[in-house]
Amino acid sequence: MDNHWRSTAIAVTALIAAGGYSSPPPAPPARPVADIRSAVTETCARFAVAAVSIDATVDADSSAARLRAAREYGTSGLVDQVAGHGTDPTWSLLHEHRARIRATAEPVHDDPPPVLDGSDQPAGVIVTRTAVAENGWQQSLPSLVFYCTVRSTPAGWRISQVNIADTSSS
Amino acid sequence: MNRPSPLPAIGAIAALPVAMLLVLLLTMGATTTALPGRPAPVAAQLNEAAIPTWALAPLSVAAAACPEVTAPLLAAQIHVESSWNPDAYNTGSQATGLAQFIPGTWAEFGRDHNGDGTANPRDPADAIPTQTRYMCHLVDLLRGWTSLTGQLVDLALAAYNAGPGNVRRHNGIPPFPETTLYVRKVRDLATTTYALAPPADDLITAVIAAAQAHVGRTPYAWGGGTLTGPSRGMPPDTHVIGFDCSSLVRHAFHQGSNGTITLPRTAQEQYNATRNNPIPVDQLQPGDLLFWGTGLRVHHVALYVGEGQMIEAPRSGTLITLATVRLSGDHLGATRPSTAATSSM
Repeated sequence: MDNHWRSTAIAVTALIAAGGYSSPPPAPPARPVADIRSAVTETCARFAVAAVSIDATVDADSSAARLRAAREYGTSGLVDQVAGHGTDPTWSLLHEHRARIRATAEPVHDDPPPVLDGSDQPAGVIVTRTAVAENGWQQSLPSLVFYCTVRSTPAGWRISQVNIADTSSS
Repeated sequence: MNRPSPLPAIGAIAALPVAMLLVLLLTMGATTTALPGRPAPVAAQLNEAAIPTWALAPLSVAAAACPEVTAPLLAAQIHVESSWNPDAYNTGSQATGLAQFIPGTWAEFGRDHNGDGTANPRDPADAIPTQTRYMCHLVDLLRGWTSLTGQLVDLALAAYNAGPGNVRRHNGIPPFPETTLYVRKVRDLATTTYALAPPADDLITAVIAAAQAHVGRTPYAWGGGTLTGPSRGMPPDTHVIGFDCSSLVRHAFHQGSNGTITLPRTAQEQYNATRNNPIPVDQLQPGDLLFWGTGLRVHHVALYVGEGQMIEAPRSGTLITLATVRLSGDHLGATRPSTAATSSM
């Protein structure tokens, strides 16, 4: 991870933990390619970190965090896309320990696609997750890869679609 | 197991103009059974030593119900659902027994399979055949939904976890971390703990064959590709069903090893996981991984197949390709994941 992204990952984590930022990065009409790549990846990272940041002391189930994230960083269609949930053994674990998930995100560098002419841009981040409780209990959880479609809207960059892949090895 | 969510009304789909349906089908691409290069399902042999003795008989009988739902798969599912506890009970969902049936699904699918007069989800002799029956039902149901992408068994597992309505709504595995991880965990256990290992001699040959099956046929799709096959990519490959560089290599090793070797998802992670076994260029062997980039920013990976050739997913707009190894540019080096990967990752 280069220094820029190391600092971005740390910043995203810190902001999430502090309940910090309230709006996604702006989407100006014409910016250098590197700026666009950086902005859309940052948006994907913020969304992904928020989407997995479950807090069993306040959330009703494991879908609450991603619905929260979709409302904050996504288009209206994304809220529909991530609604619903499956059976989640992690939820029982978090609930038992009254824990929350702390996450960091790093960019996916694979075959970086070009910045596109249209309003939709690709971005991918690897999300590392750790369950933590107030009493000091911690447990690492499997990492995930979020592939985001990031759309330029009048309200700024917003996530319009997401694919999630596991990334653990064996 | 989750409560099946309501399905979209078939009537709504039928009301779409035929032309629109055709366009949808063309752009959404393959069905669950028509993707190129898909390896035939392998009926892995059950590792009976890993199964509680009381479960062996019902498991063996039940697994004959349909070819897709194998005994190792059922065993892995029970492991994930209940850790083999026949009395497992979830107070929130009221999921009960080995296969964690919720009351509504048990009411529809549960049967008194052992003829003791009671259909009981806590009785393995009833629960395991019912689990099989429901999984086979899901396989049949999903096979008929031609817009889905993904491997049929993966989709059935996702439907078991999140409900078939969510699978249909997303035309594949829903973007729920818990469902993604459920499918992966069951698949892993089904091919490792609960299946007998394949002969190691054939492993690299099978890895290369798994990649070769896509050469000239399967397109590149950024962000696309799963352990079990090609899948829809992200922009600019939103409507393309294929692999990117790292998912192709990951898929080839997973399929070729019958699931015993699973590389991480991205090129950077694959490099990090295998960098402790670097291979000089003049000592390359089939199955080695070739990387491009820098140690902190690996951006491409390909599979060496021998005689100076490699298989790679090059970039958007191309097909999976057999190419001459490129050592120019920012070629980083090669690693050997085969046996090192299984022991160290």
